[in-house]
Amino acid sequence: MSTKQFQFKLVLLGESAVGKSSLVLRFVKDQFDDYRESTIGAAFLTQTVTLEDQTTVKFEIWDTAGQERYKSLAPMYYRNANCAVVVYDITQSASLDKARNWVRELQRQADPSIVIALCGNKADLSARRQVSEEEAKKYADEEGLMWAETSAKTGEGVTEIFTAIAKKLPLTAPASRSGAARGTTAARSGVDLNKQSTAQGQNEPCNC
Amino acid sequence: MEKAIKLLLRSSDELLRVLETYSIPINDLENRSVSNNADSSESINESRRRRIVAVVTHKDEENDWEEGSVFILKNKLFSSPYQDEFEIDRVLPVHGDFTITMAQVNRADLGVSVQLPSESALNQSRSGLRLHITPGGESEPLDLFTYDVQGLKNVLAECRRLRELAGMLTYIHTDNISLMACVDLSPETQTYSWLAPYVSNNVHIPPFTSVFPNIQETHRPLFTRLSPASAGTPGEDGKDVITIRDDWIRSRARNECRKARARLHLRIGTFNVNGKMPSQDLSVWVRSTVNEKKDFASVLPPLNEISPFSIGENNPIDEQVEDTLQTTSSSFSYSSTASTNAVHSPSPTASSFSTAPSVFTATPSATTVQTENSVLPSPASSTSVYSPIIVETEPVLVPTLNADQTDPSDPDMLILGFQELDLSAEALIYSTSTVREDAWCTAIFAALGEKGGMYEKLASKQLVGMLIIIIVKKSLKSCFSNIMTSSAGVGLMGYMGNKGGTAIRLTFTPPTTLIPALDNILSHESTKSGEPSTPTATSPKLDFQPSPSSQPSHESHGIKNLGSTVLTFVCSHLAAFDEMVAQRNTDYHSLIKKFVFDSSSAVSGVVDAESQEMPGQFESSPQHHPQEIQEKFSVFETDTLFWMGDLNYRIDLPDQEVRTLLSSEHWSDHGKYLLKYDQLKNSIENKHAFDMFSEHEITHLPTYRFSPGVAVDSLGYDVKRKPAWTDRILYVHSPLTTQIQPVTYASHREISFSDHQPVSAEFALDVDLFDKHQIHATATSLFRQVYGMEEQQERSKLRLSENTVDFGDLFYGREKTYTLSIQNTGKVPVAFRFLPLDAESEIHPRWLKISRMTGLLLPKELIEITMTTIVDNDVASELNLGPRNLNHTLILHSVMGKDLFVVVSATYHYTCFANELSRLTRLPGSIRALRGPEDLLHEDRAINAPREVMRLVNWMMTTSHSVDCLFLNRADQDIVHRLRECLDTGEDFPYSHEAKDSTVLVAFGETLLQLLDSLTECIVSTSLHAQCVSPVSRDEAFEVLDSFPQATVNVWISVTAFLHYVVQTSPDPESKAQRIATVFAPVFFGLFRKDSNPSASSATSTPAITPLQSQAFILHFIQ
Repeated sequence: MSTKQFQFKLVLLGESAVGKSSLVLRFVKDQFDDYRESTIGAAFLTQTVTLEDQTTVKFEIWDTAGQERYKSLAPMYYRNANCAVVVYDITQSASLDKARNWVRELQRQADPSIVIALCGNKADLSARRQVSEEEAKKYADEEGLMWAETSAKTGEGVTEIFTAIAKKLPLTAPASRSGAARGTTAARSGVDLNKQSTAQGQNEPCNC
Repeated sequence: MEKAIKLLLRSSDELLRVLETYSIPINDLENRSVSNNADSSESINESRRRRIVAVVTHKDEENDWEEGSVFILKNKLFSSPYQDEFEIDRVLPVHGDFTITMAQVNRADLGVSVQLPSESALNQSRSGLRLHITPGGESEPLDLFTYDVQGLKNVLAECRRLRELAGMLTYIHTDNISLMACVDLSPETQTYSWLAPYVSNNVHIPPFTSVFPNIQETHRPLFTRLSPASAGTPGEDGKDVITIRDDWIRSRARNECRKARARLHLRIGTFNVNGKMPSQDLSVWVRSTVNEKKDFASVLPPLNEISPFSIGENNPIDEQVEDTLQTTSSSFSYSSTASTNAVHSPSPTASSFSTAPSVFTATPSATTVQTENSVLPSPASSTSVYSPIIVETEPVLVPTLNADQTDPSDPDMLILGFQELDLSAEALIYSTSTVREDAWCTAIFAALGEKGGMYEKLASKQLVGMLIIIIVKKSLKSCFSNIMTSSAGVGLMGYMGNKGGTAIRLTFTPPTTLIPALDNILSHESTKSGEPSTPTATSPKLDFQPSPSSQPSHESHGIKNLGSTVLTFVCSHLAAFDEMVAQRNTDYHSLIKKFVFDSSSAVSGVVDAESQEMPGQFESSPQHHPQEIQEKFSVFETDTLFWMGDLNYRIDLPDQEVRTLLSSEHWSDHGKYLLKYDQLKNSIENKHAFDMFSEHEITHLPTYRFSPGVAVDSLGYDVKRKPAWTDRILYVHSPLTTQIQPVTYASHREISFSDHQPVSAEFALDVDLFDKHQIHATATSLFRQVYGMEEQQERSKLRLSENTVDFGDLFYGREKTYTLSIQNTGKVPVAFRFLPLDAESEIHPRWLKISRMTGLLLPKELIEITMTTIVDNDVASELNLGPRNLNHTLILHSVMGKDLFVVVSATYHYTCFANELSRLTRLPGSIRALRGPEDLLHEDRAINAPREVMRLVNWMMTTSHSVDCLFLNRADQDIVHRLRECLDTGEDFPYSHEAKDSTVLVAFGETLLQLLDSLTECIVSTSLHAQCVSPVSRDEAFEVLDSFPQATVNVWISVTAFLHYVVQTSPDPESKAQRIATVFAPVFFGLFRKDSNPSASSATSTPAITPLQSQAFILHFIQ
């Protein structure tokens, strides 16, 4: 195979009900539910993006619970993440404040090389908009974040933002992970999968 | 028939149509040769040609696709002609060029010279239809014949529909379903990957049918065998799912196929004969000492209770189980298999249904917090709760294996181990002589007396001085097969064969004579319940609801070929001398490596190659030719392992102390003190050797060393050798496949010609009664249900009954349970496990126990997880130092999928128990009044003694009467609980000094003892122990107090002053002082605490202070 394959851990953060799970559902399955139950826990999904140069990037997506009571668990999911999508709802200005908190937390506590994308969801409801594009864009620029507006309902901008993230990830030189976790997640993060397949023999089942 | 077909299908797949057909032979010649056979072969011929055409589909509603396939099934070879048992012949996906055509044919056209089967009997039209099936791929077309015109039309219609569906989708063309590699395709693409598990040649038979479960391994909780993982870092999910799956298949197949248990009575003996020949009657050693009326009858359920005639509306077994549950208020009656006491519950009712009732059935409601049990948690429940198996039902115990009408207490097997059989120099070099073995056998049979005729020697193995002999009832001899032996020498300085061991491994297959009785019971049970006799169907409270396809069909419950159980026995002689404990441990570890049983050396009691059974396992797959396989088994690849011998472990106390403790009347429970210093017990506890082995309670005196003609002490022990329990009988077993209840454990002083006394132990061993073919079929069927889990594309869905659990108030010594249900609401099987937050943390806080840490659920299945809060001393010592509000998020990880969160909370109420003494003196008031854990007085302002201790002592001092049994008898725990509550809250005791109620006073005494015992460090800390050894007078003892911390001195003085008063007012002060000192010695000096364990910390064999020394120190103050 001449194409390169990479695998990255991506975490979705943001206030409850901004549409994190819907965004993932649209991205992974190209589906949309009008009524989704609130996520209690963290869902794990994968989706692969193929770039123009035929490089494929496989995202290991952790969709986290937005509810405040589970906030203390978020670090478990964003540790070792290569990229984070912080989602707010353009019809709820308070959700952008929450997003700012998440960004701040990520900047302080996550891997320093983490790629953060700020994502204004529910773009289809722009009639009820409370967060202007300018405001969000300005904030994103100040903090050096990627930014886009999306609609999980219509699909607008969804694939684009994930593709944009894929392009921004360090595809040439896989960063060595700091605070490496055990198991495959760490081993896989940002690793060329072609190489990994040859090394699999060493990964014998542990008998402990 | 449909039922039988559904057994083959996964629950995610649907059976749409069934058509009965017959294959049209291609080779006429072959057919003719068959036809030449006698008429009797016709029905066989019929079933051999019968083919079932089944149309099966797999739907994915979420992604809105459906794929269909035609399965060609044939009757299973060797299956009963009276019941349907199929295997999959071919799998033909309905896609591509798949076609079915039909044509009307005459029989003559078929070129078939036999009469087509059942033609007349079925009274159907003489003309049939011929089907021609062209598979979609490149495989061979197929011709079939059927009479069922309507059925064929239905099949054709269904296939047409499926063809159209297949045509609508773009599909990847795949021939011959070697689709294992198609996993990377997205689920929307048509793959037919769901068919992969049915294509049997492609499916690798998983290791559970070819690898032995090692009981060492299976003794460890499953969750500890999974890859390290935490929230957001799922670990090696792909491997974990297989580990969980295999464990699930093993347990579930066994639990579904176990129809009942049969009991074997084992008598095991060990005897170091010191080179002597038998010169005394051995009957006390070899003959059952079981008092049938007293001990044994309570273990064995009375015959009439499980007689089919007495089973009425209420199942007496269920009732008994209920009773057991009610009497054992702590629901963790099976908390840890590693703990002897927990498993072998002393309750006779519990032991007669040896699988302890599951926690789930003890909790009737799924959503309410259960009643509080104000009991102190038992030591067993403070260890991690672990349930390796779910037993949905209590299998019937078939009462006896007694083929002959003899005394049921006569052991079925007699296993005797000898050491130092031959001390002669030649024996060490080379010996094939069986002279000594023969002499001992003669003596054994002589000792059996009139019963001797019932028995026969089955096997023996000798290595120099070590010999193991197995004697069995003649009537059961044919039940034993595959007898293999092994021996190994160990030890120092080339003394090969001086120390070491011999071992025998054998297979026990219950006699077929049990089958009629079993059938009787089982058939009665099924008519009683009026529905198919699945084990779970009769149980009122299910802990899961099996999907219909996973249940064994009603018709096949009969047992035809009983599965077997593997038993292994080891006799060993380990390194001698007091200080050689490390060498003994090393000997054990080399022996377990050196013992190898080679199947090619097997001596078969019965010529039955097929009975080459795997322990606790299914028979090897039919392609295997067991007789050709040379397999090697370790000593742990067995269902049960008994280990006997002169293990030579000694007691780590000074010689004089041992003798005094043994002979002193004040040390009535001297065994408890002495065994605390027993090297074997400590080696087991510290996992240095024999870990996981259990031993029945020792109530006999040490068995070493006696010697005629040498100087002896008052108990007859050689004055030159420290008495010790050198001769031991240990056991370990697979809890899934067998149950063991120890019945007796005794030494026999009457036999006195050796320097050791012989030891015997009796066991009731319950083995499973199951059909070995059925268990294999069940495992295969279960495997098919879960096949491909590690690669599945469909999303797993688990639903929790609650996402938050609030336990409310949490008090010391009270336990609360909460039942959480987990349901698989998706379409694919889900394996789950609880994960810690991160690699460093625990899965659950110490105050919470979870009944199951891992599991596997088929679609729609539901399992109940019991969470229990237990505040014992360990937990309280931690919680007392933290905030009141307890909060923890449990992470339930569905393997290959989501993490679900369960927030568990409780409000802890501080207790004065389990604190440091110095902390109690810094409390500003009662501990409950603390605003927070740091709300303490400054060290300089600490009060001089903890008010809780003083309140108890003062109350007892001011009470106007004395009670002789104070500190000596067990108190009413309800009163103790109330007193503790008063200490915690600062409220006044609700008891009057004047009321002469001895139970209250005794409760005060016990509360004081419990409080002192609960302190995180004992009153006299370990560093002070050495100083307490030396004082020879009261004055010197008081001088030692100068080095004690102030609070300790004050407690010491107050308590001993009160004890002094108690002693003085006793009619026999001398004896009273002695007895009270023995009670307080372990409490003051923490003799029974884990950290005081001498062998744990260092190699020094004697503790800083011994029981007698600590007792002597206390006596200086109270006498």
